[in-house]
Amino acid sequence: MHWVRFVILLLVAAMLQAGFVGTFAVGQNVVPDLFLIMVVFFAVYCDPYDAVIISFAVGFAADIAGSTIGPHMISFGVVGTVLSDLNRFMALRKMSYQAVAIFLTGTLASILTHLLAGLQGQQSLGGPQTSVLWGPLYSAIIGPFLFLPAAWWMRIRLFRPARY
Amino acid sequence: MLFVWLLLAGFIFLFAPQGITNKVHLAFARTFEWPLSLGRMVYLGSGTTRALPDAVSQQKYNQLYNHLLNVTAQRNQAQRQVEYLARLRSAPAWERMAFLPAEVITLSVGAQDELFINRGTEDGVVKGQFVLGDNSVVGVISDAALRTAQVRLLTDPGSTVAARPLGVDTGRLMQGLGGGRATIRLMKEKVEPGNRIMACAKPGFLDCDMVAGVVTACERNATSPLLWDITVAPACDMNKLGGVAIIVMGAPK
Repeated sequence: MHWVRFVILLLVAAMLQAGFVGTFAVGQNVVPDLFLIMVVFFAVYCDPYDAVIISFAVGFAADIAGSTIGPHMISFGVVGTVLSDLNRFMALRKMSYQAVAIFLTGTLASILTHLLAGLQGQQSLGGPQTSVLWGPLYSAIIGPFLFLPAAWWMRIRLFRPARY
Repeated sequence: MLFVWLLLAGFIFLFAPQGITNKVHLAFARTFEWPLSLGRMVYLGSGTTRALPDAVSQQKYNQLYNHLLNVTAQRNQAQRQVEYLARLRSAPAWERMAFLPAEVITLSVGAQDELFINRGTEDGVVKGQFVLGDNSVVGVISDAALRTAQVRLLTDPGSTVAARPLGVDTGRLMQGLGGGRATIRLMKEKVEPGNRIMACAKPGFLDCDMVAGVVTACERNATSPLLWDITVAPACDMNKLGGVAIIVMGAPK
């Protein structure tokens, strides 16, 4: 695992998420979640031990780039770890499977984030379907395509030769 | 085991005092101010549309319309002063207010509506000051570091400011709902969608009423059908907001 490359990728994602992804907003400010895509990418292509650290680190970055610290770190950490464990039993190599994984992971992480934000005493009345449904759906559509540049940067081989 | 430790760290962050976590946010915004601003500038630049020669963009229209309403409110205030306090000399409200321009570093609209700006206590920014965007009040300074400050938008669930629909004399509390919406509950008057909402003057921070939003819906209150609940949206497009102005109150000239 190239940790320096990972940190650079995380910083770039945080900066893009803070402003640039707004360019691709559709509907009522629905934007793709680069952090979510990163969590799923590393859960699928990294070994489980690294995936746990990465999931929590990406969640922490999402919290720093957002408004409160804690909810994303826990939710991304939990769903990333679970996805990484599941990946040992069913390999998510097809793009369609990866898209479904991003959508489900995003939905679960959003629900968990809302619950944790509520636990912290914050109201989260605004547009829950945007973060729980449309945001993960948008991320699921473009996420698998972003796996290619991410894999190139992280020196990870997406396509392994088939065994006969 | 590692998972448990990281989860524990997450919960510690979750329940850490807001003051400490705000410092982390401000430090992040300050450290990465340039690249964050760059990302936002690219976004704002990509959103530009070709303007017709005899037309202005929606953003410019909102800006000018808000300015018109602000000037009208000042004129009305001045007129009232002339009518009722003709012999008393007082400086016009506008002259007592100075505007400190600031750039938006990051904008967050969701569970919490807030933005970070590149001005801080070093520039005279203090908690409670009103922040303008496209000539309308968009929020209030909620926290300030040396060179950065956090602005709680009027649509944040934790935001409450006194406001009134244009044409209504009595002000009521406008409560943020999150997700770019706010509400004024239990109004006696029905207000048509599209009508502007004025933030009421607040001594020491805002000397005259200013545009703060636009009515998007007006519905009967569920428990008191004779009263109305108004839903309010910002009077400018927050996503296209490149810069803001902080109202700094000064001594009358």
